Amino acid sequence: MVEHTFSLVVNTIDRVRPLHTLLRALESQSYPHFEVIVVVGPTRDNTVEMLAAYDGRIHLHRCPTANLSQSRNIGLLAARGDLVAFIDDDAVPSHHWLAQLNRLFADPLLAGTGGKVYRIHPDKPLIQHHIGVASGLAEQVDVRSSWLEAIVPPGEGYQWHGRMMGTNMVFRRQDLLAVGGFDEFYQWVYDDTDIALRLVNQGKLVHPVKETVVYHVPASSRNRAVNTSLGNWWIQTKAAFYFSLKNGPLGGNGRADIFRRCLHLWHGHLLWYSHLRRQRLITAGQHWRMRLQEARGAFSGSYYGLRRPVKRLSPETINQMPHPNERILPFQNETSAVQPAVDPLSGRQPQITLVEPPLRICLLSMAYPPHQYEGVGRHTHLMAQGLFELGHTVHVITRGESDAVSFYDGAYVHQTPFQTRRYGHYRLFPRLHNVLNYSHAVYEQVRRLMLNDGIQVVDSPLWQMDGLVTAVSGEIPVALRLQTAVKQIAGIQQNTDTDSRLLAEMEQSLIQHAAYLIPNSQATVTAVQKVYDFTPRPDRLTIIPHGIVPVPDEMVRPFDHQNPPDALTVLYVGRLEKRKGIRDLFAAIPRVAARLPHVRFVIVGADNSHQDGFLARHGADYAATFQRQYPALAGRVHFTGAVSEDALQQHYQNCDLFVAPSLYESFGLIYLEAMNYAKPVIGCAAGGIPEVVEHGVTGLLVEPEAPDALAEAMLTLLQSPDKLHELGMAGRQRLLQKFTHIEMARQFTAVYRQMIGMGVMR
Amino acid sequence: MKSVLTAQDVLSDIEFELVQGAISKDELGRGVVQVKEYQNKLRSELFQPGQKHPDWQEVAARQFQLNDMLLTLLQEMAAAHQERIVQARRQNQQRSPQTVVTTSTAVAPGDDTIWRDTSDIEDAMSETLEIKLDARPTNIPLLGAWLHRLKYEIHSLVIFYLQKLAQRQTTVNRTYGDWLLYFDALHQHQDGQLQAQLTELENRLAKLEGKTGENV
Repeated sequence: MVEHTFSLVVNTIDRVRPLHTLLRALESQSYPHFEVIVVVGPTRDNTVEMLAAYDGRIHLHRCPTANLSQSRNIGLLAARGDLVAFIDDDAVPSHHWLAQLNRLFADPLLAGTGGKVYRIHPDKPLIQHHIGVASGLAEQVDVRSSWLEAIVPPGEGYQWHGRMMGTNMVFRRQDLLAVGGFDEFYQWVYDDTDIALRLVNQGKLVHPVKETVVYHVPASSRNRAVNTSLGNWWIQTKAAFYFSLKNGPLGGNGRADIFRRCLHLWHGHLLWYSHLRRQRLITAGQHWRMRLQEARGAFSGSYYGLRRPVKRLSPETINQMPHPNERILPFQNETSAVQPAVDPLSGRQPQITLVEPPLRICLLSMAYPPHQYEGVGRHTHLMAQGLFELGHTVHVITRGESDAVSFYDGAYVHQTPFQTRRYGHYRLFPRLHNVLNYSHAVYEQVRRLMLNDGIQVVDSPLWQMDGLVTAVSGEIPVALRLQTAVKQIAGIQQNTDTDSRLLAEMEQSLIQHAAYLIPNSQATVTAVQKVYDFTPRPDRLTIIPHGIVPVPDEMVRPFDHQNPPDALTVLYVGRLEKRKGIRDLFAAIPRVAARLPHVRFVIVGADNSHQDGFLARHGADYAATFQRQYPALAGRVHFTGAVSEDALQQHYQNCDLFVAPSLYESFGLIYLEAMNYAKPVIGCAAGGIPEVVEHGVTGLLVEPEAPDALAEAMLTLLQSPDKLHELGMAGRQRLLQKFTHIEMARQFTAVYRQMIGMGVMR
Repeated sequence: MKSVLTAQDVLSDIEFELVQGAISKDELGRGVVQVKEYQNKLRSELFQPGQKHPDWQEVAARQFQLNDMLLTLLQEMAAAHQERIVQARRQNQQRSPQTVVTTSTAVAPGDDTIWRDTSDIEDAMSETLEIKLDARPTNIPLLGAWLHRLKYEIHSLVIFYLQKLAQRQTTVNRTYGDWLLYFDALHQHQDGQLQAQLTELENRLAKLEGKTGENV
């Protein structure tokens, strides 16, 4: 394989923070043969001062005007590499971006290409560009699923060609120079479309590709205010008029077509401004100013399009450029390999010195915050936070409505949509059918992440079997986090249908196919061994308890035993279902309430009575049944249903005693969350709970399905202010020593490094 | 006849799906259909009856456009071909020769009823009914153009309503298809259970006959 040299051109004005983020992200590019050319426009911030730290590693050039095409041409003239790549200052490339591009240019016919662009946005992540096409009339279709989608062009232009987005496009330097570089009329937008079209018209192959990903985090500029509707949109009109007039006739479109297209575009902009005004997103003044500027743009674009020649690099200018055989200035140095990961949104980088290169890890979780909070999702989120703090790059694959990427608390979160179009033979078994289809969609996403981001290890939960197909494929080592097995739950809930049986068998297969097992407690190991009758290899198993983010000391509310409050609050958190012990709690509450009239109960969690058969038997859900049986306690037992994460933390902070009498928990993250606020806890001596709650030290443990003992334990603690204080404080200490997310991430890191070092697959 | 599904069956299906992928035949087929439809549309637009001279510049531009589309198709076919070669290599590396792709090893030879191919139903479901205008010019002198115009307008009106009907029929077809697939899966399942019970019955009869023989 030929190893091309790249000149990476970054054009920037007033965006010092995103630019710094990009430069730090480039340290981790897997392909080392590239130089970085930063062309700084008439900036008003401290960009140049920031770049001083990169002296000797980058080429710095200045552009006198805020003109993107002129800036690109300055970068092109300074380039020494075989290939010239352009990336925006507010974007971050995937790990293998340049390596993939190098491979693509092994095709000697290829003149230009570029890949997929994800817009990273907290609320509206989306694909910005994917194998786009454009016509000679400035019509653009930027997102297509394949080359064959929209093969019949949707617009009026005759000539359609592939186009790349300016933040992810690469060309052979010689080809760019042969067409005179960028047309400097385009001060913003359409510069990328124009260059692609001119190369095509020269008989060159321009072919955007499906992968080769860049993550774009749009930042405000002189031309637009990000996340608002304000911008110099008239520049688009000007560029589109000019583009259509210059390129339309070359593609076969007549004057009438061009005139109609220009009017459509102009009219569309005017309608849009009116819509913005009606929505009160712009003021009346802004509205009129935008309309006037629109006319200015249309006139200017028409005049220059009809009357003026194009503004490209002249042959004399090109001849004065650096000698083409001059070597590039490598950007990466000996410390690049051990730079911690960087947050593309905030630019934050953990303050940590690494002695080994950070890892690139892929975590799987069907549900994931901030949209869905549940056990596995919360645990995965905490792992991601901890791993990022240790300097690793974390990707999370979760379920979503559309293909999109966001960045949340230290991890790239890849939303993965799926359709049940595979495994049609299993339609009769809906749960298995869903699991197989989702797991296959995850596998395809994993393959993309291997290709683009170079993930080295995949970590899947046993629950929902996200990693089943990936593990079976054997293409990358899969670590399996063991929690409660389906077969255990089926036993508790007495599910005997074929769907449950097959799910349990597949779970067993997943355990066998996993490269490494990571249970959260000894109890989990014992339970899984028992239900699946297998003995794990000791060198492929490590118990790692869950960890959480400790809240700051000022948020901790230990029980005030010197001045006990008049009313006490007992909190329950969990789904309302048999397995969580809600029926035992309901039996215990009236006894406690009768003895202690100043105690109230808060029950937090979604009702799950339809799943465990309670609804069918009683004709009402848990809350309604309790209220019907004990109407006198209606004012003292409050059912909240599912609540937001913030509200949940408030409940933990405000309670005096935490109770969760689960019949089985593989670990029991909820106890840690209560201990975080120095709350004493009551649980059952079942599963992994005793490994979290130390009986008599941080809380009390009772036997499962023993409501009398549960009531007694509650009465004991609620009548002893000193105990409430003492046990709560001991719980907080235990958490800080053993159960923080950083401690958990350290242990996971050790396991991952072991897996990668051993090259274990299965 | 295999009556009970096992994890091994599911794993076989996962491995089968793993060797699938890339661009599907259907996608290329759809691309070809789109180009053909587009060509037909252009033909009727460019060579309108009654029009003396087609706009040759327009014709040439459209022809280039069609060439571009065909080149795209060729490019995709080449990519798909390449992908299949890679997959075939991978398949050879990963799969043992004994592994049967679509059926479990426990299925009796020649038995094709368990995993019946339902792709024809699925293909039919994805098709959309479309009625094309067919108003050929008439050769009657003087009144020909006028008659043709009238015929064209009437046909267009009829086709407008037929098209609406066709859209509804497409929905009906899809619903039928869904139910057919469901019944097909249900049938397979029940067939399996029935066979298992028959086998069980035969075993018991055999045992009973054995016992009766001993008593005799």
